[in-house]
Amino acid sequence: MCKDCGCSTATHPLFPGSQQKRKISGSIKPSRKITVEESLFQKNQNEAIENRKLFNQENLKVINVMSSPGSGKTTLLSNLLGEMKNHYPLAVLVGDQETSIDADRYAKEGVFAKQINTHAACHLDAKRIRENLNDLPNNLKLIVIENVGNLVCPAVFDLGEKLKVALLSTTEGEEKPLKYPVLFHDADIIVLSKCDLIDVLEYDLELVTKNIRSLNPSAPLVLCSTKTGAGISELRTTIETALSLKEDTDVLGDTSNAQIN
Amino acid sequence: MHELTLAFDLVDRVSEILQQEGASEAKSISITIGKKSGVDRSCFEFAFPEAAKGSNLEKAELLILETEDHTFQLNSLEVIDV
Repeated sequence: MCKDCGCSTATHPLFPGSQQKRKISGSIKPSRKITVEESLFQKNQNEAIENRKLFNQENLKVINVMSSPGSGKTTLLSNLLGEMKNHYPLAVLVGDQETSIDADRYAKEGVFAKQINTHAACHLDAKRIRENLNDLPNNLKLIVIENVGNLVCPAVFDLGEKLKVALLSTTEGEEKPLKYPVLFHDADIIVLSKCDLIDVLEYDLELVTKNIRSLNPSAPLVLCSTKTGAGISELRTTIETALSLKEDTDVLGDTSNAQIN
Repeated sequence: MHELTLAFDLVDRVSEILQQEGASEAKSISITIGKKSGVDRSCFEFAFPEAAKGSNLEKAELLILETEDHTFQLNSLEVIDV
């Protein structure tokens, strides 16, 4: 069969396009296949591995706290860390698209916080964390990263942290874990905040627990309220146990009445 | 829209591979996006041409396989040699 038009002639030299066609097909560059099979999170992952090495060298524990905007991350953490800072040196890296409002709120509680403005970005990545480690105080034991308020994007980026903490507030409803499963699936500790509103909102605690457990059967679930103070010390213990954080006698200095565990 | 960040990372990584392999451009790029990876397929398809603009991946066809798991992976490339 002719290659040019499919007629029964073996060759078809008179077919008008035949010479030209052959010429074109001869000039098509050959392609070849390269098998790669590597994670596309690898670039951030490599940066996260570097961070993790650095944190280990410095004996520094790092946690990454994620939630939606307005769920009460800053209120809860400034409350919790305002107390924890009396027991070991700690700092906060807080991510927001714009403003230093959150860093200022931590400062009011006497907690050292550095604001990272991500501008267009909706999450913090491992490289940005490392770039912001330089001007933190020396001899820290704990860094708390308060991620950009967002249930979706931050969940995808490993920052080199030891613990991922997912925070959900009662005002967001019971179904958020199911709608945004990645964050809740990967969390090491899950916090339900604004629990003082459970009665007002007729919040279904059983349902939210079921939803969380369908994704994450084992992470400790801590119920908190900064209004009543409920659950704050339980959260502290949960974090300290998970990180094997020990009281740092150096930090006590003038706070001689602090208890040493 | 973290897909744009990830699309830029893909462009950087493929450009590196093209250089290592002495290839001039990518003709197609095969990736896998798992449903639990936290990466949205249509967002990634939207972001990729923007990230690839002006690179030697600009003309590459993006072939996407979907899985049910956490995978987000670069499978293979079809490249054209210099």
